[in-house]
Amino acid sequence: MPLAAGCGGNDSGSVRALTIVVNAPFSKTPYIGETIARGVELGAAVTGPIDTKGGTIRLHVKRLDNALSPRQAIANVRRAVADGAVAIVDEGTGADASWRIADKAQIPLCVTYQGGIGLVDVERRPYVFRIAPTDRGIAFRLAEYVIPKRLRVAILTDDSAYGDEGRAALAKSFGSNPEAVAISLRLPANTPDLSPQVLRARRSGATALLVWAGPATIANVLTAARTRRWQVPVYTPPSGADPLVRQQLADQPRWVDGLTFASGRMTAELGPHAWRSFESLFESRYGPDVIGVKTSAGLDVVQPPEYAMYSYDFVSVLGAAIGQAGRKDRAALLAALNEVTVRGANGDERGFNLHNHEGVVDDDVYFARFDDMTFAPVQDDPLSSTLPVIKQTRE
Amino acid sequence: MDLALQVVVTGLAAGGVYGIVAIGHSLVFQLTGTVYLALGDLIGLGVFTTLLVAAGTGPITQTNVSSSRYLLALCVGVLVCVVVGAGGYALVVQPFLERGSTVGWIGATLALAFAIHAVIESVFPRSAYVFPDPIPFRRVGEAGFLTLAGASFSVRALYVAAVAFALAGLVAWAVNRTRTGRGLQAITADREGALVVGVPVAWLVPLAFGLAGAVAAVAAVVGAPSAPVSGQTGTLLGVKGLAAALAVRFGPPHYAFAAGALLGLLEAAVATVHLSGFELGPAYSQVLPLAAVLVLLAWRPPAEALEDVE
Amino acid sequence: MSAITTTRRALREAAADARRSWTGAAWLTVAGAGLAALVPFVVPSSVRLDGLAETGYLAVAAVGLGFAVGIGGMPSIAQGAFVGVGAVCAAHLVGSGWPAPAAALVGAAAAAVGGIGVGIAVVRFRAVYVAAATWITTWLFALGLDAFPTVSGGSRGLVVPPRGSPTIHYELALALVAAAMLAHRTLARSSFGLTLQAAAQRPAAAAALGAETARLRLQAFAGAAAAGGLAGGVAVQLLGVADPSSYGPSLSFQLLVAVLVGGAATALGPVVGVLVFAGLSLAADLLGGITGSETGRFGPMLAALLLLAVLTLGGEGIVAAVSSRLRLDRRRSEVGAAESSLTGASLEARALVKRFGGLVALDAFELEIRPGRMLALIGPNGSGKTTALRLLAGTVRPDAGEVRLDETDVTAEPTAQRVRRGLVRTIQSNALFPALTALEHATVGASLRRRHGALRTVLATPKARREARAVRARALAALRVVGLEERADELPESLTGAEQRLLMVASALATGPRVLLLDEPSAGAAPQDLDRLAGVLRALREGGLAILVVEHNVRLVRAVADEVVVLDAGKRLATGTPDEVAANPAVRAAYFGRQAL
Repeated sequence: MPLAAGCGGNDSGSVRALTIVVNAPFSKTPYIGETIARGVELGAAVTGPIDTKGGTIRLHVKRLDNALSPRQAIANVRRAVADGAVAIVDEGTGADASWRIADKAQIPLCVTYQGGIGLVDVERRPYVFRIAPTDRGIAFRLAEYVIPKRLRVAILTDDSAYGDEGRAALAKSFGSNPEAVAISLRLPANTPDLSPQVLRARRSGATALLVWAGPATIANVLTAARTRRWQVPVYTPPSGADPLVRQQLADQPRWVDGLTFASGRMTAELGPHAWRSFESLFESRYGPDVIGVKTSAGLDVVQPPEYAMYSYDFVSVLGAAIGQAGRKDRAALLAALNEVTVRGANGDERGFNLHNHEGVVDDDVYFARFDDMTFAPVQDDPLSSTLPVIKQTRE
Repeated sequence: MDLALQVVVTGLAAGGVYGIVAIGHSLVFQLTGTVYLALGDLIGLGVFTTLLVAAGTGPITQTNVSSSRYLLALCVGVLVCVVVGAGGYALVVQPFLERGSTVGWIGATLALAFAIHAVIESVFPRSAYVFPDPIPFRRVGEAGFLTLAGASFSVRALYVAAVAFALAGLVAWAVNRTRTGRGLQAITADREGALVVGVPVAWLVPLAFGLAGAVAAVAAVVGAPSAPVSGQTGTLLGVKGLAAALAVRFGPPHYAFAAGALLGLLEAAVATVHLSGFELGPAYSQVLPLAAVLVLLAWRPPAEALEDVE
Repeated sequence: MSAITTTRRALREAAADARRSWTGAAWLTVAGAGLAALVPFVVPSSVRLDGLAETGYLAVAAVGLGFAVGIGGMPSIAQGAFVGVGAVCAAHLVGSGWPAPAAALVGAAAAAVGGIGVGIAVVRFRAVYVAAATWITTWLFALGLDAFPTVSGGSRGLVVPPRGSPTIHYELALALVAAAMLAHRTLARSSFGLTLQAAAQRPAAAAALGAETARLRLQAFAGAAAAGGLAGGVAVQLLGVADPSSYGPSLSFQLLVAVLVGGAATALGPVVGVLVFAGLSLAADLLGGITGSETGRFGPMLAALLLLAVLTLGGEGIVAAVSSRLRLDRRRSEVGAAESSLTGASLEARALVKRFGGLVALDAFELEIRPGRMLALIGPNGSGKTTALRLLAGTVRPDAGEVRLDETDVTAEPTAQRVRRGLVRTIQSNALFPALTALEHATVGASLRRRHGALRTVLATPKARREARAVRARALAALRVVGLEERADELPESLTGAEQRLLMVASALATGPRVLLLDEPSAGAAPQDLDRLAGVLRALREGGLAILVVEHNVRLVRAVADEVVVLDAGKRLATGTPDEVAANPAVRAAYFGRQAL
């Protein structure tokens, strides 16, 4: 099926417009949705018109809200297919059902947030890509980091897809050290009062909490624990860095202190320069992402555009692939996607191949700890201690 | 002991709010013979209007709202509740009541409920919002917790329970001692008779509809800062209040309130209590109380619920 | 006769029946269905067949709900939960490798079980309580799905490997909608449906005619739930995921909106409602596409506004409005009346006592009626006459004493059982069903003797069809006895007062009674109508029935009663022929003495 003819493609002279659809929870968790979408839009703007043999191609971005509902996410993918999108950038909700639709329509679907293990499978799901830290990598690194501290961990996950996938990943990574796990509990995602579960974790003899859940649940767990004066260390996956956690606990900054999260490395091995220029590029277009909480010195806290980087990088790869495949069919685009490599926003090389559709290296995960509403890499982990601190306040 | 006190206090805090909502449901049923399916969303409207006036729609913290602004917001919220509640009755429920169409007012009340819900969700689409707390409870005791005989409980929860009880007492007093209240009682007992003796049924009933929502909204707003609120918070309150009211066959206010309080206690108990290792867990706490009410209705159907089989 | 011959004969009868009841509307429907089935092959691929199939499945659930609401009179707000039960069950089964159709059927069965469970509580309730209880049920289901992620798959839902192309789903949806509509129509016009409608309109009157309302409603409710479950079970295989957040109160509301907007009483109504709603959503989507705003959340709001608009306009729904405009006629009845054969039985009441709180309504009440005799029960207001009738009919249980029908002790038996034995009464207040024709009234009474239930009716087996014909014949016979045969297709509002009272008698007659209890049959009748009434009563008595009449009208009592019993303050005051009783000084004192005081 021709790429830029008829459905969805807008013929005006030799300039054709192709649409990238962003399928994310804009209403329910706006930070995640906005970040991903902004990365795509920035990428489209920076990529600019793509010159191919058959003419110039412009990238347009369309946002569809999935409201964290798998059904809505699938409906959005169907709609994207019907509108003839060139690619879908997906937050991940419902992707384990919607990938088939994208696959059948030969539209590349790139997940830029959720890291579930089974989501990406080069053999069976040739059109699914991911540029985001994988759950397997994060879970592995979490186990590697936490177990040597000889803590007994209570694993708390919520019942969302994010939490479920995390649970599976943690079961694998902690599988060979069962004595490190005091108890494993499943939290209801919609309940604000989690004191019964936290109490149960405490009764089981846990000396640390590993909360793999959405940001609201993490904040609720912290609330439940700290109001009972339980100063247990809390470890989380990247969702701990979500501004919602700090927003919900804004009047109790001491509760956020010490919260440690794992995340994909933002700055490159070569140094932070590329990241810093991406950051200023992002902020020149959208302004700094002020999240509404202040440090103890009264400075506004700003969120670095980490997830914007992943969706931005995908658009860069896509642009390069379109440039190579031109106006040929979708199979050619897929082939091009499996070949091109670009320099990512933070300076790392990004690209896919026929054996690997994961854009972020598995164990490229670092740890950061919150102090006074901002985070900094921890010093007791080899990789993290080499990383620079990213400035999160603006005067 | 520790657990028991916590369960009682948390349970009564939640149950007090359910009880006020149950009173609202009972009152409406006795006045008009209809079930106020939109009460929950009306409460949600009051809560979110208060939030809107107090703090806007952005991510906010629990402290940066002054008391005067908070009070203003509360007044606006109550006003909106009364207006929408009364207006909703007059425009949406009353026409079908007069026509005698049961399915009509059921559909209309549900439509009102979902319309209000849609408005709330469009202005406040996120999954959780933090409500401002004008009273600095966290300064009391240890971060808001007091210890009594080795057991600790939340001061805020106690405050909410106390306010709910006070509101319930206020409503009971108003119904029994004020003219308006007695007028409402008259309408409940004999509508035609009340009309004959000059009770202003035409605006008293809509007013009662609005006030039921407003009082319940006040109770909900008082309880709101305890946990993040979402668009569904109000609706769920309405459902649980309805369950409590059904359990006492839409009886007098003190019965309805007691049923609501019991519902809250049951919820807290099921969520937290463990007896010699056996524990139901929080999953059942949302489900068991409602299921219990349904089973109760099935096993002992109230006589008023059954059809007239003369 | 061999099986093949029997089958062939049955099929030929069925074809003849079908040809006889074929109407223009039926041709239209078949044409419409045929056109719709061709859609996937002629329209461009931009038409979203999967969206249409989804709408179709929704319509199946809506038709089921429409039956429960419109025919059964139960405003259920729980249909979304039953759709969810079917979907979750089917999703689990398909995930375990079951074939798609089996999974959907098991989902429907599970939903039916759920419907029975909820129905047991709900079917005896008034409409208000039905609404409240089903509202709580649908929330209970939604909260339950939230609370038990192993069942519901948590907020990610249960992923179902999709089975079937959109075209197959579209055709399947079309077939299911057609089947559901056919079932609705068949059942609504059958004895089952008429009895349900009668019970919805006048529950007391239907119960007096022996209708076992609770049992029938339970069947209707479970059937509606099964339809919802089937729809959910099949739809989930089209959607690819069972998303728990979509099977809650919102879906229940949307289905109810579709039913009310399109019209609850007809088979086509809910389908039209679903189509209107889908069309509106499409328009909103297009609007949102133009203005760039997010319209996904506007679904419930649209539904709410649509419903309010239709309800306010005085709606019985779109279909009803259109069909009244087109003046589509009611079906003409063309079955001949059966010969009526009346036999009587004796009724005896011994030492019946009934107290209401501290008040003794009846004390040591004794009575005896023989076949071919008419007894009048008279007395001043409040003397306990209606209480006596209620005790005899079984609506109320006595505190002491017994009631015997032909030497059988029926004191402990409920009304429906007594009606089956041949003891039936008419009730005092308005007992006519406003939306049923005279023939349909009598059919409700005649349905009592049905042995073949809803399932056979739906499948239109030869037995069920034969029985339906017999029922109709008995109904016509009852109408003929009271002289209303010519008015068989009229609604009660077009009958005169006297004809209305006669219709009540006819309904009771259609049950095949042996003892008839009439509560003030002359109430509201003009003097000239009394003669007609008296004539009918006398004919019935001569036919062999035992009749008990509670009456105020002295003329009628004199004209028809063999024996009179006088009640005063719950006690039997006097008994004898009308003349003897009229001359009795105690009776005069009871009637007039108090006034003198």
